[in-house]
Amino acid sequence: MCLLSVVLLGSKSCNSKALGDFVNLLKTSDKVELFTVESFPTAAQDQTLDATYVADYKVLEFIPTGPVEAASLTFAAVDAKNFDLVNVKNCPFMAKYALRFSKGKDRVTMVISPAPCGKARMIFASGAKERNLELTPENGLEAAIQKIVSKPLIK
Amino acid sequence: MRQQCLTRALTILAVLCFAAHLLPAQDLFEIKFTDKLNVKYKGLLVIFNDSKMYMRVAYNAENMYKVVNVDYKSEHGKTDGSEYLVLLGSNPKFITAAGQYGYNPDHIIFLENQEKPYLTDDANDTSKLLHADSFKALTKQEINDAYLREFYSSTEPDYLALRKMFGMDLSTLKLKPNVNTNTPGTTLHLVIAANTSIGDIGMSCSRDQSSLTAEFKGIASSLGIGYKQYLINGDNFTKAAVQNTLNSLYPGTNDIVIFVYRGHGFRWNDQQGAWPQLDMRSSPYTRIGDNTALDLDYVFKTIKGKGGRLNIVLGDCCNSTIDMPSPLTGSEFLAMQANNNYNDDKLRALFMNTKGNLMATAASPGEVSWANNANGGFFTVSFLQSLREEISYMREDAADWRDLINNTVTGARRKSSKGVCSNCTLQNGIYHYDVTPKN
Repeated sequence: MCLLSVVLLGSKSCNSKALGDFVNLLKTSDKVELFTVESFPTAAQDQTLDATYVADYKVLEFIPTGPVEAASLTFAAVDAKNFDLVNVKNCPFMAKYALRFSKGKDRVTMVISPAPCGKARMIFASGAKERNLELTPENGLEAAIQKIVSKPLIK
Repeated sequence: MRQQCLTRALTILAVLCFAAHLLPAQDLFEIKFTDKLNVKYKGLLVIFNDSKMYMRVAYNAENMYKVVNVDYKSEHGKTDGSEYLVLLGSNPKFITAAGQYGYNPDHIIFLENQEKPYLTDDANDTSKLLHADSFKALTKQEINDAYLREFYSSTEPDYLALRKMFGMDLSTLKLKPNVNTNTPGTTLHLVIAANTSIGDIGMSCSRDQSSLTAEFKGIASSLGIGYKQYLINGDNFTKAAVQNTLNSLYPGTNDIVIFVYRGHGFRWNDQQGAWPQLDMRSSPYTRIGDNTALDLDYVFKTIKGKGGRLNIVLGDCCNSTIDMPSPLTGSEFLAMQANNNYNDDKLRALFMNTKGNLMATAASPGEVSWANNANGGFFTVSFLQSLREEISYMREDAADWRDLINNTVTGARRKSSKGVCSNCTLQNGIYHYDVTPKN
């Protein structure tokens, strides 16, 4: 029993499965894309042809990422330490970034609401029920994104 | 006797723990366990709130009947998908003669889907882990004077309070009045706006709604006054629904109005006022705007203007800034809940002998507030715990709204502190208090 190992042995290694099955898709994805998006999603019937949407969120900007950056995003997205699986903040989700992980036709999008209302919303192309996740105050996911978006442009 | 030490592992566990626990106030539980030397222990666990509880443990040793008092505090959390609750014991004191040996406090570990908890006084030694023989919430029928005397001496204040609480003190026995016969014309109006459908906090809002309705219905029944509830939730969770409800609310001059908001909250990036905006959206596809945001202060002023005798407005929501300006111009934690164990005199002092207005919210400007699915909002849970403590037989001083709201704010702050909730940030509730004794 995991809890007993925590109680009795001081083990902290119980969270490996805590994030659920989508971790496998994230870990094995062959494409990671980063976008800045609008704060709120747009219903399908209200979307326009001249705009791009990721999981119904209108894309404001596509941010190119190199292999190292993609790996850092994936690592942060599957690290259970970045998520609070018990407590939630009573603040409204205000999207700013979207991370799209693809493996063949399989896609999962992680939409990020940054601090102070740090939350993530997992949206599955397969139609599986979306999942809401709570980001910890100093999570590595926002830090990894921030590192990429704040890098100077080389012209 | 059993070895003493609060282990490193439990310290780690406490830090790992996630907080906010709905342990009901003034509830009694019985736990029986047997140690490796076949000594049988019977414990009476008395819970005030998550940070204040004790257990009287009775057992026979050294040819003596012994009773020891152990203080407890709780840590609640979830690991690998399983919930747990740990009651950490400390400060053992003998009520009877101590004898030659001391008593090492037990830590009680409740696991999800297990009826009986585990106990240990040494978490580093798995051979010392005990599975309780039994654990149950005590019902009124099971508690009599002989039972209490197993754990208390006849002069202890808690013994006397428990006798009163369970109707053993004839001087406190009263016939319960029928609704509206004792206090004609008085009605408690309970308005709850709870965002029960939203993905992230919906479950915690549902839990709080259930706790609040059960609690206040029980209070109205105990007071013998009328009770009306107005629930704004699910798909009906809209600004218009709140406004319509407030518009149709006509409290009498001796009525009590209680409004509780459970949902998301925020503040505009150009907002001056301290009170949060209530986010009246149940779908992420709805954009935040004038038609979805409702100022808690507006709710308070509206209710205050209705003329009820006592108005309580609570907002259990965040008060953190979003990157949007105001669209408005000039705008600024087990069973036995709602039982019959209320002290009617204290209830009356709190609800019937006061007048005025009280508004409180869970977080200061710039702060988030916290909830979890297992227990509900930290602020709402703390409010209910403080309310039950304030009106309990076991509290000696007079019931007072200022104490209650102070304890609510303190309780929510404690639940969000690093020692209890390692991932949380502190929430410091704020309140406006203008309640005076009724003439």
